[in-house]
Amino acid sequence: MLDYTENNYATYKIAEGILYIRYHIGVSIDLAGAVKIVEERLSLQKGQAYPALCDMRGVREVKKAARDYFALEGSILLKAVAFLVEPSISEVISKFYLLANKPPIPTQAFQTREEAEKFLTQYL
Amino acid sequence: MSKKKRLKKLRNLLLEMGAGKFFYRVERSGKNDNVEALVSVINMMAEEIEEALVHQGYANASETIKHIVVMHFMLDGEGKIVAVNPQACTLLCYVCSELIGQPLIQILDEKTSKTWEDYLEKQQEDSGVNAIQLTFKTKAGLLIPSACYISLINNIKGCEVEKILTVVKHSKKQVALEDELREPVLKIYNSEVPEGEKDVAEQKPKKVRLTQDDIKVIEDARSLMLNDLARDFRPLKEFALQLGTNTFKLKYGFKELYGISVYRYLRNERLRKAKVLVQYGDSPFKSIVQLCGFKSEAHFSRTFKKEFGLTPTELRKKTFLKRD
Repeated sequence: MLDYTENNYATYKIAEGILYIRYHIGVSIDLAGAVKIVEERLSLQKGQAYPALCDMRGVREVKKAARDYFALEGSILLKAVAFLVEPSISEVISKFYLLANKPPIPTQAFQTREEAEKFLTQYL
Repeated sequence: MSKKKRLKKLRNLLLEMGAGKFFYRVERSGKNDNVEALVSVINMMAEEIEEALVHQGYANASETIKHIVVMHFMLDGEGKIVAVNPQACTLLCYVCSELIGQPLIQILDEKTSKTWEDYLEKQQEDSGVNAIQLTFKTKAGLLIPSACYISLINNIKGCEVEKILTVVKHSKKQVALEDELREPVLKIYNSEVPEGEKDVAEQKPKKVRLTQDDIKVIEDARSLMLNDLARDFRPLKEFALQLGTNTFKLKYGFKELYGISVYRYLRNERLRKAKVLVQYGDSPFKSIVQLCGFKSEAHFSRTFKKEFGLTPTELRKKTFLKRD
């Protein structure tokens, strides 16, 4: 089974039951981008639900329509999401998203990969 | 861009927001510092407020008068501005004479000027009304991302105007009040509106009074539904009881807060989830029906077709063909 894929926005990998999504550096995500990102993810997942580690340290901007899409359509077939962030921009975007969009699945932001993975193991 | 420059732009943006204009944005720089984080969060906040203004429900209570701000540009064949309405000049902080004769591209940001160029190239083939997304840049450097509607017009001899570009925006500025009365108005926003002044514009039906706790309960209701679309939420009375409220508050409060009835919301969310699963997943429809809480496959197929114009099978086929 193919467990790796890539597009203009991010690279995707499934390893040890966790879906890893790493955004490229400097990406700005609008609605069309969000749709593409979710589509790519779902085609890799083949109908299986995973906990996801989403390394969004490279994300520079997420537009409102894209945030709304991620919070609803974007949560489909995900058990939980751990954001990997760093100060200042990706941290503030993740905070805003968690507060304003209230994603329907367990979602938290972390500054280290270890913490993020630890959070996700309870959803494996 | 230096810190000082970005902070100045932020200040200008906040001033505009204070005056009821939520459609301005600050241009993003490539930096990753505290100022940039502030820019990013304020831009996002402005997006949320702008959207909330258009929503007719609780977020836009009856005491505010909605007001549409419009920019019109009349353009010639090469995309140069032939005429512009004064309001556009005010919003963009230019004097009219500075804009006339200039190509429209001059007042667009870098990213969307490419979109505009592409449009100009392609438009020969098309006719009629087109909508594109452009970002205008004011003289002070703030950005105004806008949906633009372009109508091509049949040329009368001697008339150089070839198309009209229109931008529609919403503002919270109270039309009925003069500028010098603005201060008390701003105070009214923050406090209770006196009874008599409430329905100056038009008599609206009395709204349900929602406390902070009620709002919390209704938000909980929404998230419970979202998390468990497979569940049957009828009768509403039981659902209301589970939430610790009554049917009336749940029914009317939900409508007030989200501008949609409980069941319609549930139906929309079920369809939304089902659509993504049909399009991008490969699970059998039977499991999608269960996962999304539809009564039967026939019911699902019917509702789906009514909403999207295609049956689930047709949509899956279409997406599949497109991907290959």
